[in-house]
Amino acid sequence: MSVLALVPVAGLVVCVVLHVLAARLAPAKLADLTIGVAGGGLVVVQLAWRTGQEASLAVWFATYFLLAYCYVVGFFNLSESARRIRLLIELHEAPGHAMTLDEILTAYNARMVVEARLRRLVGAGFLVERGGRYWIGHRAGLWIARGLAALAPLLAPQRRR
Amino acid sequence: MVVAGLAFLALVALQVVFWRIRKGRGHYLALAGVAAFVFIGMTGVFAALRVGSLFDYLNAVLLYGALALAYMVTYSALQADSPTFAILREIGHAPAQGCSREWLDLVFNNERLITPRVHDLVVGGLARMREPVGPTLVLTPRGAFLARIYVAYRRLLRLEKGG
Repeated sequence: MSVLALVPVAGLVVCVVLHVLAARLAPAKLADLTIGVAGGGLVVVQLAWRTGQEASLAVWFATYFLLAYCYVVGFFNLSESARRIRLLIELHEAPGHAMTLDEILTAYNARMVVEARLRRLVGAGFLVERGGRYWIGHRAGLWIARGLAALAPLLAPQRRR
Repeated sequence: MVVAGLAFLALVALQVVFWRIRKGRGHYLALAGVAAFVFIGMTGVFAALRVGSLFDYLNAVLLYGALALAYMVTYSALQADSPTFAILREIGHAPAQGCSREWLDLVFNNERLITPRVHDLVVGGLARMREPVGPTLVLTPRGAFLARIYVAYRRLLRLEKGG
């Protein structure tokens, strides 16, 4: 009975496996993640029904989605957009695992960081681009950005840039 | 669910108080310590009040663990300002004619986006600075280990380098 408490973890394992499989078979970042997260969620629901633990479904579902959030934001997204991880990979691929600051800035620089973010934000509809100028698209992105900036002094007083 | 929710609220409240006293030094280790402290308190409450079965306790522990982990993941976004959010705020402040790419490149330069992260790698023990002819960054064994994990993961997903 107690082992059933691990159902959300099983859901997470299924989510990661499905995400990897989807990414290898049909590369499409957002769709692959959606397949993984939805697949893991379905497994949680199925296991709740098959084991007669419908009463635990809400808590299992909440736990599963939080774990999936950790995977997507804390692991996948970190590999996708974290500057530190990109710098680590650049150093790892350099001869002798070493690079001068100039070499680092040739391989990876602020212009590339801005370019990648603008492309993603325009693609997601949070920004609109016309003739090389940018405007806010859907305001949801701006609200989240402002909300996090407002919370930062309370929860993270020593914020870094 | 209620117990895990209350434990999570206690975690956030304790963190806010703790950060006021310690000024948020050693962020992640301190946050993990506060989370562990709340977990011990939660277990104590379960044992003392004998609320629910072992199964209920495990469900609550896992939910609390997931909440704490998700909070830590979100905290990292709060703690280090993400360029994505900073760009959105910058363009949000722009006048009606929008923001040019040249302006964004001026505001979000190497000194703002890259140099602090290079410094973080050194402070975090993932790389060290060597000066044979000029400042050279060298990966430490810990940094190489972490890099290998991400390289293997991205290769598994058939993805190019991120960033």
